[in-house]
Amino acid sequence: MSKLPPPLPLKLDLRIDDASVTVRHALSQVTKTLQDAHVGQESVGTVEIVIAEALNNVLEHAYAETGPVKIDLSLSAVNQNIIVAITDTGAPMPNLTLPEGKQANLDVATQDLPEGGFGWFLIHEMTEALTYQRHESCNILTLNIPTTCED
Amino acid sequence: MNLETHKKDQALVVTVMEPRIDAAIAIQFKDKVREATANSSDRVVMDLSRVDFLDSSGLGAVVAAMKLMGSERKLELSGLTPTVAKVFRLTRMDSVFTIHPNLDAAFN
Repeated sequence: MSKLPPPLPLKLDLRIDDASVTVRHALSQVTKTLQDAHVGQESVGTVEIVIAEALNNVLEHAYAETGPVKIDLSLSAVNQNIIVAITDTGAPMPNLTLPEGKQANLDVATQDLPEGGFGWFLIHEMTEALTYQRHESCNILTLNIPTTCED
Repeated sequence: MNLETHKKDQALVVTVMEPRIDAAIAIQFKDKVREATANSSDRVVMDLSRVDFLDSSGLGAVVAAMKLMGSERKLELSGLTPTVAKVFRLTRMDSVFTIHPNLDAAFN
């Protein structure tokens, strides 16, 4: 019987607010934390995209017309899976449900190609166990990004 | 938001001198690419070899740049780094653009 590999030694808690910590800064903290834990480069890239999309979505939609911004990002690991939780105090998701993020129809003329709407599709494609909850005026998004043994 | 351009054969090569095409610079990217390609040749090859990261905003900006060139002209991409290539592949945008592994391949 083979032993489970130890959990990745990583933990990061970050607060993003109006005064400090832009998305780029948050992502560079995330990638550094992952690299320090020897997570493979492909998985680092995946986590970076997923968190970028989720944070951009929070800023664009949860805080579209209201401020101040207060987003908490936490990163941890269970076995070889990276667990991400993003909590914000912004407006709720429409219908309190996650967007489906369907694959865009690309079988159209060049001038009709979509320029947006890829974010949730990418999040769904790259994550497992994606959940959204609304709790005491906060949005809580959690997701799991598996890393591979080859990394 | 830095771009460099040079002519090669009958094409315009646009080299994106930024490590990231993301929400923070998507709008400037579109504007700069539009300026750079406004009066250029029919064939434009965008060298993305210096770009390590591109999110959905960046992808949208590249699509917008292609649309701004009109249906008579082609925007080709070259030198996609792994994370950038992954975004194009997952969204199937790699079937919409002609993508070269590097500039040499684009011109041979």
